[in-house]
Amino acid sequence: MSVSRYIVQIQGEKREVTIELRGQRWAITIDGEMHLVEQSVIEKDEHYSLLIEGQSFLVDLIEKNWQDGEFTVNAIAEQINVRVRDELEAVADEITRANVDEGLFVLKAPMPGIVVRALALPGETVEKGQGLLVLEAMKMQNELVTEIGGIVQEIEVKDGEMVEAGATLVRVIADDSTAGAA
Amino acid sequence: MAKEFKKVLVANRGEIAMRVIRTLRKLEIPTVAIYSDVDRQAPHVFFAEQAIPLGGRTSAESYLRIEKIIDACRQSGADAVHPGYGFLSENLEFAAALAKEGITFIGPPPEAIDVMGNKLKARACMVAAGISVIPGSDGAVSDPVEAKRLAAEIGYPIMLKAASGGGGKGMRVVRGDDKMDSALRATREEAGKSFADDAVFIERYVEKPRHIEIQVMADTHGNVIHLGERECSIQRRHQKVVEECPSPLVDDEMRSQMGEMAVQVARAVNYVGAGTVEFIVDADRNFFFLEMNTRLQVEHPVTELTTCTDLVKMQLEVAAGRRLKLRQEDVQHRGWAMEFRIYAEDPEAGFLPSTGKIALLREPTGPGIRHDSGIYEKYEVPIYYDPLLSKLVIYGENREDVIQRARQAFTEFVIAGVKTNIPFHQWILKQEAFCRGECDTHYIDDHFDAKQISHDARVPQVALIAATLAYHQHSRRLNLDSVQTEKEAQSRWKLIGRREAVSRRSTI
Repeated sequence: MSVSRYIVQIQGEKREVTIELRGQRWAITIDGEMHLVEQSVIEKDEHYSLLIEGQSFLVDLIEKNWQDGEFTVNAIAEQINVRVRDELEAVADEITRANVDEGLFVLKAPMPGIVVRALALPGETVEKGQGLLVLEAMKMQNELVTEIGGIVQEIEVKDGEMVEAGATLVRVIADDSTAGAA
Repeated sequence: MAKEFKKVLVANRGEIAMRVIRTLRKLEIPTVAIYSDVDRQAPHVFFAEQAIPLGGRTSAESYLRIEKIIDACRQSGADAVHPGYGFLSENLEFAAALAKEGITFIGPPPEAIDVMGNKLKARACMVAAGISVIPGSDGAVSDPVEAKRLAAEIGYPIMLKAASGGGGKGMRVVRGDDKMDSALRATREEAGKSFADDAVFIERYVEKPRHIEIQVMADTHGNVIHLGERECSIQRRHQKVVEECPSPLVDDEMRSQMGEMAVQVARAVNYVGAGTVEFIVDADRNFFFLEMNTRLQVEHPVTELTTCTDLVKMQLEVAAGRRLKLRQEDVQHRGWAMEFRIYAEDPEAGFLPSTGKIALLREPTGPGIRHDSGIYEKYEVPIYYDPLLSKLVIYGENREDVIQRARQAFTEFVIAGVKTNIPFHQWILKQEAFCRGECDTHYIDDHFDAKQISHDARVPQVALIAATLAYHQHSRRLNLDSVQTEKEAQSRWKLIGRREAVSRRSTI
């Protein structure tokens, strides 16, 4: 049988993974360390029972994006994000990442909600950790902050506007002077 | 005269609507649910026999609209309304509007709601009835000079409280004269803005307070009983998170003293139905009347489990004019119970509220486990209402047994898709002070640290293996599919050829 290779990102780390079918079991190496895994499919692409070196786990794929290899996995009553790429895709990812402007912070809505008010104006200088906008969800007002120091470039929403999770709210461009100070 | 309710409308949503409907179904009383535009797929809508839309999204546009709910009663022919907790459960106007329509409000008389709805009125009424209240001012205070004079009399630290306040808002601790002017101004402003009433009064501030409450039940024939206490000291920013019955602090003697006082409180306002008398208990176990909640409480299940009662059923009976079946001497307390409120919030991100679709729900089961839930798998949690998703209630023979059961239950409990405070509950269940039953109301605010939330070290590896394997199989299947379609295309030609050959032969 052939060996398949993947680059897997989990908790900000990259792991090299190989998969090979050996009889009834899978031989899976993670950064060179081998595990024998027996898999029983409860529902394809959804729920699996795994015996990893005989240790028993029920695992669920909660969110899945097969195209980009992005998953949210439930294991041992905890949820965690995993990104799986084959070798070619991993190289392509690197190239895309290098093109992203690192001096830009895009504030996105962490949950659906209603924009109460912006706390900074376009053109205003903000420090790292400073509040950019107040978002209300479930009767609670939440102040969302900038992760970089810089200048507010654009506020993409209006007061009172309803936004979905992941919606772009505010863009901040790093200012060399403030970045240096921070 | 006792009546039979023909149909009951439940003027609420979420887990409490489910809880109330469950008892109504048990009693075979037809039920009516109401729902806002965003709640069309909320579980209480499926659970009731009939459901009536209110329109609107926010609470103010839907569950708080008295005229719409009265309309729903008329339309459905409901002859009684159970308000649950929150929304209109302690609203004088609502109770009066129902009475005018001849619809029974399953709750106390309007006069009791009125007195207990205002902290100053309640305080005055209790003082008159000889109930011990926290030393403080007899009325509202607006002049800082007067405030300082009173504070000197009572002794610092003192607490400034909004008369119409609630839910932990409109309160400020003042520790000396120098801070009084600004604190008084700020509290009055906040009270005016939040409660449309800037009346503020002064109370002695109890250091390291415990919050213990007594469940009472009263009928229209003058019978009032109490069903023991609930310990509610585990709070985060004045919001209860874990409640238990009995309280580790309360012994039989203290229970009967507090119980008797709670009964006296209920009698002082001619109370009918289920109510809760809240007490502040100081470090020397002195207790003072705090307020009375004139409704069924969120945490009522811990009382139900330890007294083997159905409080909603009792509410229905007394609302129908029946006598309480249970006498005080018949009330028995058995075992221990704890309730864990499951909120849609992320304890590892400053308890930020979380919404979205419940992607996976795996509820704990087994002996002593009760889950009062307002969610289901694939349910989309709306952003407009309270973040309480459900309540996990654990019963056991004693406190230690309950803690062990609870720890186990949380390892089974999976809610994915939205963040919940389950990891927080797992944290509190490991705190020694909690296990010893020694937490006061400041414990969480003083001790909780998100970094202490523990994660199972095996999770990343197991998830990595599962995801990589699934991805591998998925892409193999895609490749295989394209190969197979080609093969199938070929074999179908063969099949047709063979069939034709056979049919040719058979016609001969």
